[in-house]
Amino acid sequence: MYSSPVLHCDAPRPWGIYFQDSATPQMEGIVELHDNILFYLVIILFGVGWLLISIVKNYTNTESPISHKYLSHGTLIELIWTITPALILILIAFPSFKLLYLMDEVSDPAMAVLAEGHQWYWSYQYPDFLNSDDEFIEFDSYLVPESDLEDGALRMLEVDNRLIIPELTHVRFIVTAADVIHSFACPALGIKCDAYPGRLNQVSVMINREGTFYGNQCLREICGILHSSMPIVIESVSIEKFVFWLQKQ
Amino acid sequence: MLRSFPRAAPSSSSIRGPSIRTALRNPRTTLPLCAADARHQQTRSVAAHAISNPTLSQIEKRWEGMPPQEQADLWMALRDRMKNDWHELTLQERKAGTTYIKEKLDSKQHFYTCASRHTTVLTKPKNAAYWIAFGPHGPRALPPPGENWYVFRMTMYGIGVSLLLFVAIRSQARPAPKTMNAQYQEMTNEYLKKQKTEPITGISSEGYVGKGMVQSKPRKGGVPSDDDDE
Repeated sequence: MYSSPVLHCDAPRPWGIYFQDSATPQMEGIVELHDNILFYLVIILFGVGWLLISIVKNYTNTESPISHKYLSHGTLIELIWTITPALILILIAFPSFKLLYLMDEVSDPAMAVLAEGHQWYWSYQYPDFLNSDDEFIEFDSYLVPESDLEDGALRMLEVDNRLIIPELTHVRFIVTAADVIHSFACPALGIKCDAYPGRLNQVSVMINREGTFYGNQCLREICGILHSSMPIVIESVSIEKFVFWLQKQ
Repeated sequence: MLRSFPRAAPSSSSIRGPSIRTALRNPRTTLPLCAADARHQQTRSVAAHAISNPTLSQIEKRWEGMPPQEQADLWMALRDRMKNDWHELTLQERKAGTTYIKEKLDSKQHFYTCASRHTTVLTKPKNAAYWIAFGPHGPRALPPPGENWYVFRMTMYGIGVSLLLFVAIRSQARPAPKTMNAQYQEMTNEYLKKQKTEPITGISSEGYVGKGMVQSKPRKGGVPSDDDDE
């Protein structure tokens, strides 16, 4: 199954049906949890499917002409089909909650980035760094229209100003919105955080490799007619390149 | 039989005695209680007389045309008759079943008549009393001939109209964007490799042999420039 090229997707890929390559520990946890839950789901699928097909096949008009209208109680079978799903749910719930609370923890971030959603663009601010005018480094990030795409660039996913953050560094995203509800999401990093006007939400990441990661809020929060036109592009660079980029601001 | 009759039918006599109520609530005790109930009901004068054979014969042909009140009265009369000693039922009343059950339970006629309260017999009825209770009339009436074909035909007609509507709307849509051709998507592959996208299992990984972002047919004349759009 994993040898199929369809499943090897990191950035959005045509007909992709599996996760993008993870770039953070929490995304690796999500992928592992998904795979573990799928194990139980496959067993349930085949078990329930076998039951349904057996009933349809064996209890037909010709096979079983008399059906017991009031035979509606069987203690043993009811115990089995109540306790078994409960145990399966517990097996799923424990690792799920464990991962959820691990992801919820913001562990000693080295820097912060404020992401603010607008109709229909994102604006980013680095409150830990000042530019040459002693102001916070901040910029807006707009979608690149189809007519301005450079050759090979991804349509509806490229932005004019990418969000640059260093690799192997704990970064805290503070997420808010200026007008309506938006959603700050990036699948490869395993983050999705709603952005509410007048409220600060936070998520943290530690990107473990250099790369460019695409996200789009269009599937997460419908924020207006151009909700599909405010993608998120996060570029992870080395510390040296990040410092160099800061100096140019 | 009691449960299969339409609920709207008026009741000529209410259920009397704890034995019947208990029997209806708890099917496991129905069989022995039916006999006790039959003995209890022997004292009743109501429906002591058998329903005449002409009334029940060919009932399946006359049932749909009978007024609802007459249907209810006949059903109530049959129900009351079954509350008496079933050995006193007429043949027309007693058989009340199908060839299948008759063959299986011929020597246990009493059991069968009781059991008919809490079993569903799925074979074709041949008798008036059974036909009234379980026959194909009212909500159990068989569909008119050709209905399946009619439903299939109308469904296909609806799907055809939907397809035509889709094609008509689609013909008015904008052309595909300039990225939807194989040449551009091959450039996208190079673009993604340059920025090290998918380095673990995807396009930038070692030994990758997939198609990457290529999903469209090649465009004649290559990738159009922005001037072409203008």
